[in-house]
Amino acid sequence: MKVVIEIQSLYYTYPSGVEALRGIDVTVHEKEFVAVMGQNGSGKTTFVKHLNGLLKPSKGRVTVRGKDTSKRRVSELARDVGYVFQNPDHQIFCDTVEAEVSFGPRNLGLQKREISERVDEALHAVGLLEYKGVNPKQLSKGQRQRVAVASVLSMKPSILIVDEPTTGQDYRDGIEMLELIKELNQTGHTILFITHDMQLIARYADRVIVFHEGKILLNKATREVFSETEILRRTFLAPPSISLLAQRFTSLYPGTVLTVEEMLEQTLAMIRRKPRPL
Amino acid sequence: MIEYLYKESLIHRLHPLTKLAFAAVIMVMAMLYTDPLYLLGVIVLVMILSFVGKILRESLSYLIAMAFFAAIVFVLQCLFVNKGHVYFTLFPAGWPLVGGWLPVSRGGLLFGTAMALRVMAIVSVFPLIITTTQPRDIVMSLVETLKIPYDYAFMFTTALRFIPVIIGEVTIIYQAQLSRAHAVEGWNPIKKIRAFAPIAFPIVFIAIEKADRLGLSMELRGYSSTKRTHLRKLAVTSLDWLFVLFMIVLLALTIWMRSKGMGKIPI
Repeated sequence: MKVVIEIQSLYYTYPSGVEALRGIDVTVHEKEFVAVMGQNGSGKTTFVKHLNGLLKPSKGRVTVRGKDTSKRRVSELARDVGYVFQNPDHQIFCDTVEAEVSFGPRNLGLQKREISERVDEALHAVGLLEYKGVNPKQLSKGQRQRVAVASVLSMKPSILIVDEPTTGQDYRDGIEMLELIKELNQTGHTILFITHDMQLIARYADRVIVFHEGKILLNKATREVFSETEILRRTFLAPPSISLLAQRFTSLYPGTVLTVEEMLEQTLAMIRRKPRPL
Repeated sequence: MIEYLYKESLIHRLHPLTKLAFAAVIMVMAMLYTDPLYLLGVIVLVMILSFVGKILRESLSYLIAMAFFAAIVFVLQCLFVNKGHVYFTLFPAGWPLVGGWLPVSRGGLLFGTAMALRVMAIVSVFPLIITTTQPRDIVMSLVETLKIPYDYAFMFTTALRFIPVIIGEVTIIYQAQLSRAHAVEGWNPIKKIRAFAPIAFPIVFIAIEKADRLGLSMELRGYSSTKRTHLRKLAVTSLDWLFVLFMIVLLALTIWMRSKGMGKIPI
């Protein structure tokens, strides 16, 4: 598959002198669904801010779709990389949802027709088409988060970065947000999302990158990462309870179980097999 | 950005009011002297105390930052004070109409230097006080000793506390809008003002929300329900009295020297 993001020995030191990233090597392929996790201050947000040029490497190279980010402006990279910030209130400033979502495409200098087409498309994708004329301030937090996603989608970036899309939302809103992101992934977007929620990772991500003190501790397929219980424990992370439960019965459940549904399936399969005589 | 730095030093142990009084003494000295050498002496005195307070590095970097403003003062004074020998004029004498304007004279140079150093001397005490005193102690000393109503004192410190918070929020908002291809470029003033809105509106909303929450949590913790008492008492120690004595000597010396005609600019 095509490589869309390539990062080679990336180092980043903040002006305050804090060494946030210390030698990062990552490759992301087209249409991947990658979860980025780690404790607060582990460097995960600093890392994703390099992907759309908000931060430029102190050392090393970041290439997005063949472009070296250190030589590009953020507004230029925004065509390729969409970044949805954690708190939608950090970006919403318009009176209507429609105006908010059209802000990005207008900045790209598109024609009026194209803009309104894209706004409808993006609002349709997040399920807010009927809220077009509503003031975003009157929407719920979960809906505002969707407005934020739509306002990035309307720029049609092929890579989408979502920073903790589920904070401050209840479980259902969180699942809905991830279902939306999954749909976008299936329609061709490459996704990187930051989260602390192991259940969501287990359910959605193809691959997990675990940050620890500015370095990458794990960078593997989700199933393999959750079998590394010991390494995860070092960063105070634990696989979902269902995976831990399955690990207790390795003889019954070989490999790693990620979700309750998976375990149920395997259990049912076991029961349907002819019971062995005791 | 200067802020309180926790360190163990004699200056840190002084009562906040003693330090505020010292700032006043330095200002009076800076205003009375006009000789650049004496003003330099005032700055050196503040730097020595910064060294005692273990914050010399902060004081020096602050002075370097302030040197820009001092330089502006210097240039203006240089050009508009004309006394003594004229070295050259900014517009050469041969030029039509404006020839010979804006002379740079010996008096102008001296006076400019003195004014620039005076600005530096006055601002040099700020880091000495801010970095060695906890804001809440400054407030407490003002409330306790100078009987300033606590509401005003609280407002003042809260405003100070909010500055770094708001700067942090603005940075995030700015990055969020940059990510949506927002660009603040070009020289068109109307465009510049319009480019400001995507940053200004969110920060206003966030600030109001924060203030609202702060007000609520203050009420929940019984703000202004009864007369306040304090957990800690600020003590005036013998070190403070020693310092007061030092300040009196400094002031007396300054007034005596000025009465004898010393410390005056040699123009």
